[in-house]
Amino acid sequence: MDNQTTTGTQTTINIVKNFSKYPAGRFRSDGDYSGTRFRDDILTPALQRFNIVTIEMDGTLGYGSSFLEEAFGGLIRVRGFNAGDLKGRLDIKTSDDNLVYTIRHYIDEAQSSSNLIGVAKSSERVPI
Amino acid sequence: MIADGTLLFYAEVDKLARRDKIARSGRGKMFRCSYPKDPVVEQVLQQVGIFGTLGKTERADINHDLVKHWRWATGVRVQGDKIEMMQEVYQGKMASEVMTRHLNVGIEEAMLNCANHAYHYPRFAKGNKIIVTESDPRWWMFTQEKDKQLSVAFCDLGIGIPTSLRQADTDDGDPGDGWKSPIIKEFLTAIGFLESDARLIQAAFELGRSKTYQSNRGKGLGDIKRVVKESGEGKLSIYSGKGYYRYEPLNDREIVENYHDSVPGTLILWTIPIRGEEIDG
Repeated sequence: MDNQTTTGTQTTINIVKNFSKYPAGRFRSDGDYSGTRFRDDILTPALQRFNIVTIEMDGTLGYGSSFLEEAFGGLIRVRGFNAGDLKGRLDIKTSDDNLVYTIRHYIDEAQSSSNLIGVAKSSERVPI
Repeated sequence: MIADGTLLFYAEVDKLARRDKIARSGRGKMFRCSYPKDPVVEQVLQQVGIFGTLGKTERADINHDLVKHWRWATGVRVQGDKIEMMQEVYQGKMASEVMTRHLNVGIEEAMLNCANHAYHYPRFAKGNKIIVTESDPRWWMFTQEKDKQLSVAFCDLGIGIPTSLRQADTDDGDPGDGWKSPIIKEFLTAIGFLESDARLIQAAFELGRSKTYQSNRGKGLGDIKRVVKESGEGKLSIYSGKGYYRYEPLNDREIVENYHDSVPGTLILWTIPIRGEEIDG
């Protein structure tokens, strides 16, 4: 796997070169290049080290909903990132505008669900 | 020979041959077959791998126009390299590169459904649920180009979509009527989709669009439909259990029908017109 390109506080991940031409599935058990693997092994470490993470997404066979939701929505649900912070730090590069919209949608959706769970848990703790 | 029926035939033969190979450890063979009289049929059976599976000598020269554009693959889990191999049949012939990627993703999601749902057989011992998985959770796939149409057929030999829905467990308790999730049952009852296998296939798309449970899940079926929906032409057909579902994007029409006999598992067929030249979209 080729090294990512880094410049000061910014790094670039090219999915084809740094991960796979065949990203697919949610979990590691689904296949070799799952959303979980991309999120936990590549994307999260990059976000922890660099302020801006550019992701070059063109050149793969395509992106399924399962991969995208787990890789990006999972940053909120599983890794505890905040949607507002992520959208300021993730720079998605692709010729497919719909892909950018979809990723942002999954991030927002995960944040909404996370907020609801947080509210429910706070409600449970309110003494009668 | 049509792609979907041939695929199901091949999948059953391949499954039996694999089990026979394991059981007999190479000693003797369960199958015997003779060459068909029609040379085109012989080419098809050779090209789609049936002779190879049965240990029959592949003697034909594959040269017929109806045959040489068939491709086949089988595997477990998601295997992108096999999708890429299939893509060689339709690369540059779809309406756009975007549509090619949509079809790739549809196939990928079909592989995922196979890996995650098709072969999970719940067993109950003293009230405790145990999930038993098939030791070889396999899928099979064909692509065929014929009469300016691309046919991509994908199947598994698992429990089928209707049974998978009935057995889905959302940890909300077992209502004790064959349904493992009261939430799913309630949702499907509300939209009137409970009464048949065909309606349950249709319901699976609705369930994925809804946020009935685990709002981050269930998005894959939309990917399976997307290539025909966004291209506005062709069709998507799904056979599972006794149900048949077809989506025709031209009029945004869904057709459901139930049969007397069951399809073992799930069979998906994409039928898409082929373009002469690539138009980038």
